[in-house]
Amino acid sequence: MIPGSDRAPQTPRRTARQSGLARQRYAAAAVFLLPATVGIVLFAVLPILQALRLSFFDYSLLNPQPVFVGGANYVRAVQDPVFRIALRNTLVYAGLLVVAQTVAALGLALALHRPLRGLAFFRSAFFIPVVTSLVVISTVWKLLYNSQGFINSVLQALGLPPQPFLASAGQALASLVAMSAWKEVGFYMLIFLAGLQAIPAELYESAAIDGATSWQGFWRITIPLLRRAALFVVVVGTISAFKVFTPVYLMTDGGPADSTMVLVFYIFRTAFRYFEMGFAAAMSFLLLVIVLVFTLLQFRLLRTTVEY
Amino acid sequence: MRRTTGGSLVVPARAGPRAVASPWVAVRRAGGRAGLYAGLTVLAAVFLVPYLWMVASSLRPQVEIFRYVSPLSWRTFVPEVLTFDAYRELFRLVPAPFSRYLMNSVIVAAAVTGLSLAVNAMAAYAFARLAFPGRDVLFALFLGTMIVPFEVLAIPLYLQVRTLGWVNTYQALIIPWVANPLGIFLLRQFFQEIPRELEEAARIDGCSYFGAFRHVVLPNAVPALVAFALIRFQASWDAFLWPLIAAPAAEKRVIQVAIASFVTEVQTRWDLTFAASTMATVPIIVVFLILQRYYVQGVVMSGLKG
Repeated sequence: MIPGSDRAPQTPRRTARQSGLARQRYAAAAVFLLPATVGIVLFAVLPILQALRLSFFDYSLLNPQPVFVGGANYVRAVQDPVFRIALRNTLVYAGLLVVAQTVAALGLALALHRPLRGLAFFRSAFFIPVVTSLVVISTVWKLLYNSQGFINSVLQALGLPPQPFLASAGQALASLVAMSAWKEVGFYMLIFLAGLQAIPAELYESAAIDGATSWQGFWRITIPLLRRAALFVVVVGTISAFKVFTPVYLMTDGGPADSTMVLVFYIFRTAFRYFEMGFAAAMSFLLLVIVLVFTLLQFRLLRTTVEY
Repeated sequence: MRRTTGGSLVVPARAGPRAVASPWVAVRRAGGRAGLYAGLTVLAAVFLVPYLWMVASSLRPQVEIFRYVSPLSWRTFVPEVLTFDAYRELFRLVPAPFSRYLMNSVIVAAAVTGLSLAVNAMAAYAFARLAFPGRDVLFALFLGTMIVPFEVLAIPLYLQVRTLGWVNTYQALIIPWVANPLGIFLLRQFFQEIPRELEEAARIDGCSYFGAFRHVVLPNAVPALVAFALIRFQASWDAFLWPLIAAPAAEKRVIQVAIASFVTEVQTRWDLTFAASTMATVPIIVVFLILQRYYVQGVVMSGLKG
């Protein structure tokens, strides 16, 4: 795509006919864009502004008289011990999950980036959890993690001691990370596979002619040229990890002892169980700021100018 | 090997940098290949066994589900008493039969998919082809809203829906999800790659912009439209937080909220839960396996062109 080639041809002097055509084009653009614009303004732009406004009010559904309180909701969030626990848990969850799923996805992609009998079968097997709802996966895994559940009977068959998993404050968050990595890895595997496919074979050929070993080829060619795919995997993975809600809601209810209390679950509980909309909106905005900061940082760290 | 329109995802055999230098290398490679297969097979089992167990558990009486989990045996996966009782009971549930929840999900997902195809394809066409002042600013604004996670919008959206009197209605589950900046972005990319001459020829033949869009652009973008439709359908089918907030009443409950309500009940009926989970999952997996190449292309489009 040549930049600017989708623009109307420029002529030095506009004739009446051309400006008529332009007007006709603007009218068409307005019609084509109207439904999407209305939708985005009503259900994205306005709610964002309303959330921001709400975060400066004490507003409860039980007592719907909004009272302006300035930054009090933000101060309360920062001082709230549960909010701090939720923030820490969310960061730990996101950090563990992003590392686990990125490494696993890269490993799977490298393993499957070759001619292999049964390739389609393996790829589909790893991808099936991606197209399964998180509600169903959380439900099934809740039982898999049960003290007399399937995973413990596998451990038993292997001669290993049974684990409490979700029942222990020490293991619950890590158990959620393992399940989420299992669900998401197939998606990121596809991204890495596409990235691997985009690396021209000639690079490896000329490296081999220059006497490079395949190991050197991997570190000097494959890994650097996967940076764009890795950036996507890490950024999208982090953003989606920060929004974790469903497994907590269905499997642990934030426990045991707040060990799986995460931000979105805490926000949900504040807004829809305790009906404190203003406080919840303030915490939502803090979540947004955290997501934005992480996204920008990752772009900084992983940005690549390599073109191939 | 599958072909995708945007280039095959699986690269054909590449000679690679190494050439077989000695018989030993060939032996080592064969050994490595066997190891690779063994590893992949174990991993595939890790991914598939939970599904086997889910389906098997849905076909046995509640008491049998836990009896054979431990110790591990073939009985863990093969019901002693094969029964469809759980499925039968689901369709007689009070206050609403499971068919109600299933229909709600189908209606909502189909409506979201259909409407978002129309609305976002039109917007994408305008951004791809119809130059007008302020276009780039508007496009940037659209994309900017993508950064804000839905979870941040949940509260004001709920209040808005409440003001409109839409709580526990289909509108609440459908309308907010029609306009989709990611979809506009993806389809715009695709439309830009369609040769402009095709449309110009149609315009010279007297087609309106809408005619050119319908008869030239859309038919040439079928793979992208299918990919986008699949992504939207799945997102809508799997959605949980929003329907939980906006339509919790039994009458408008979607399948995911219904399953969650089984799980969070004091006495979970696991046989019903597994039967419901199977029904919510298996059709989607079948559709995915059939339309896989489009879906994969959609994922790759969203991943690498972004």
